[in-house]
Amino acid sequence: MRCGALIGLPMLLQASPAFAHAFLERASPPVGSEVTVSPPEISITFTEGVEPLFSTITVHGANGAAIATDTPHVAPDGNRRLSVKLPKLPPGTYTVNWHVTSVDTHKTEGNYTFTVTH
Amino acid sequence: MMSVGVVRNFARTGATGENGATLDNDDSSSTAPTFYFGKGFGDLPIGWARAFAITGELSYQIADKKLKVTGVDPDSGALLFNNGTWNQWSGGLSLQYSIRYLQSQVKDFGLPEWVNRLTPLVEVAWSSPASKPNQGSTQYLIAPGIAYTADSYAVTVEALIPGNKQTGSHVGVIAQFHLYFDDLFPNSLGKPIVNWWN
Repeated sequence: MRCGALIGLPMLLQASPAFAHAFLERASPPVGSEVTVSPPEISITFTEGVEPLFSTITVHGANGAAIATDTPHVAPDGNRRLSVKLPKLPPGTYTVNWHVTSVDTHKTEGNYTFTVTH
Repeated sequence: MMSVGVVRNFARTGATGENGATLDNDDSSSTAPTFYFGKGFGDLPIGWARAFAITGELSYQIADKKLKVTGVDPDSGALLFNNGTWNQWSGGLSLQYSIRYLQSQVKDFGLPEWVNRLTPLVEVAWSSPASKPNQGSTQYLIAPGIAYTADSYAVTVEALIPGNKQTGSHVGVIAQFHLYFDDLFPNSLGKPIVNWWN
């Protein structure tokens, strides 16, 4: 027989977010930032190591046109930071799309914008 | 995102009541087909609002052995029942705010990393009897709280606030602790199967 008042009430947090994935921790230029000059590269630090061969960073201008970048590479000091070189960007808002595979093979993706003002 | 599942509640596997708790210790087992859904607000035009998300579930619990009236107590006149239980609807909603999403997809406010790992949330749970006779009542529970998600574990603490008199009259607290085994054991449980023999 049911006696406890809370019996039957669902606890929705039984499946809490799995963080065994690489999420964006910091980016340069920072997420949502305005920079005065064109940045030489996009650099994203993730919460865990990523596999550069299975990871991409693409950049698009406000009109949707893709900006040519080189192949993503990890920093020499570790595999948590992924970077791509950029050409000189004219003023405008740019969208960065990233897709990465962490070293434990989980895939994640995301996007953010930054603005070049001059 | 939507999904469906079936929850099986096994009788007499919960707390016995010896310590004052009788949670999930029904005399009768039950099965509950359950519908789950979730939606992130990442497509909203307002930047800060994009970090919100909702999740929810709705289930219909079907008792193996139905509650039945077996007689009347000759002394008190109260109804006597067998040890069955009753069908019931239950559901819940959660509203969550992902500071990680805000920082990584909307705007970097330069918050400390430990703040980025917090997710404030509010849950509302509801259940209501769906068959007669029953000894239950419609109950509501409101649970505001916060989750901290680390690389290999997560901790969530929530207050439990009764939403009506039938749910209770005291505020409680619940805490959950989750371990991510694939991160704790990256060379065994967390290792891709294709690499097990390398």
